[in-house]
Amino acid sequence: MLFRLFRRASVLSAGLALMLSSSLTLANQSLTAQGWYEKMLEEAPKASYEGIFVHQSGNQLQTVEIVHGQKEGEIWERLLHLDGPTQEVIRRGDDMYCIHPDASVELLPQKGGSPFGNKLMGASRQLTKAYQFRLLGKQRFAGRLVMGLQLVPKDGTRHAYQLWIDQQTSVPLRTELLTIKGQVLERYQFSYFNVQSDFKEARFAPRTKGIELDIASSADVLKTRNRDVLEWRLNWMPVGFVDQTASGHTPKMSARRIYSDGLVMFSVYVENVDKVQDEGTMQAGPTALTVQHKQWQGKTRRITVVGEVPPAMVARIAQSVELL
Amino acid sequence: MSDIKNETLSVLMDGELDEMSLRRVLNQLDDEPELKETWSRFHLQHDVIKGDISEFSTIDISGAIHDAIEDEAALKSQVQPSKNWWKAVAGLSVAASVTFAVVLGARFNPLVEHQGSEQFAGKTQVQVVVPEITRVKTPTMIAQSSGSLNAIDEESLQQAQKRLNTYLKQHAQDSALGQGRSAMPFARVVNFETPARQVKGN
Repeated sequence: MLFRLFRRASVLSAGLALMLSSSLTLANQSLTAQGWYEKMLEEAPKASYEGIFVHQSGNQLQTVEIVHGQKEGEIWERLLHLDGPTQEVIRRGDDMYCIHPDASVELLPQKGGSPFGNKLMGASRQLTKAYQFRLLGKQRFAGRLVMGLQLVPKDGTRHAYQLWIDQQTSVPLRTELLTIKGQVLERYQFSYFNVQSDFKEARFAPRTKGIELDIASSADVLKTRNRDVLEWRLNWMPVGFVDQTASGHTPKMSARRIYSDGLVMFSVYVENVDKVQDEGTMQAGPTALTVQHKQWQGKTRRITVVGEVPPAMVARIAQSVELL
Repeated sequence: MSDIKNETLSVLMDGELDEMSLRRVLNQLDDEPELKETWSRFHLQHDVIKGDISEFSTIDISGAIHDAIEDEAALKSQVQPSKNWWKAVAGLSVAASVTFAVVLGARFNPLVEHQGSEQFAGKTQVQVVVPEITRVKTPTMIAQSSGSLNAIDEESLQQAQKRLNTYLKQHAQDSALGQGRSAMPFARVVNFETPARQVKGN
């Protein structure tokens, strides 16, 4: 519905892409933008590769080394920040470790322990509620052939998303989150990408010296104090977003909840406070944040909304919190 | 006649058209390609004046506005429309960003006036798509309640900074875990890392 002109252009470019794709396999030839997206969800985690990518957030840039592979059906990964202090993220299956510059190791909450539960974002069926898929055609990034896709929001309540998928491995070599005016808020782009044919465990070992992952302490999960457990609900949110809070967490009585439209998410925090410390709305790269207060039964409730949606939306979501 | 329409479009651009006129103009836009062109030109002019012309400038959004009105007519009828709510929000972010810039330090790019107005002004579709429920109040900000930024007490400033960083980091982490396919989104988390001492704690 949105961007009719653009849609016409994309039909043209889709046709062009189809014509150009003679070198692709027969299966790839018939793939729609949504088909490419699903292929990426399915195949990218299973790929084995190493590379270097640049992460751009607002006007900040950082370079990160990545090693990705599979061992006995589990995803192994290592991320090393190449700029500034040494920071690493190590993944062993479902376990995620952060190694900080002072060589302290932090084990991030397990899937079950995180409010996310086992629900993963990104099923394309959910995405079609809020986004329209488009093919951008073939391009070349990091020396490799890629297929470009665009996810254009159907309304003005969220950002647009573009990604370029490696034709051989389906790994996205470049992804962008951008405003509907085309301003890039966040970008991941590989500058070097190399497919690995075998699994070498040594490549996944932390680069920080003297690290033992087994003794990592658990991440300091934001503790929910008793007085923070409030009953509340959202009486409005943008189309396509669903509550991602795992069923183990009582949905109504929680200080924090997360919502996702399959691509981006926002978190809502509702707490009791004694006094108003700060209030306002701002944006950090792709992430908008708002702090607002509501009076309820003589008490002050602080509402914080954080998410990769336009600033007007986090403010509006905060306003729509209904205290029960 | 055409002058009247142009005038109506100008009012629409400013987001000050009442609902009846809005529907009429949108229907006319569908029927009259010339008017639609004028509408696009207005947007282009608006963007050029503001100096932020982009590759998406040629996109026609009137269809989306139309659909959004149909979809949300019911919702809209329940709420008191407030015509310039986005101005209030834009004003809020500009003012509030002063506070947040202090609170969050250099890691942040607070909404400066230009970006703020870009987010809200000219986005007539946002104004229509999103029905208002409560009018944005002028928030009590540190800067206002204490008279000047210098008067903020250091302790609550640090508390606010720590809290917001924790929220942002937790959000980034959940977001990365939620995607679950690659650790790449964790690159974002580092932006919100507080000094290791705070993160390490236990």
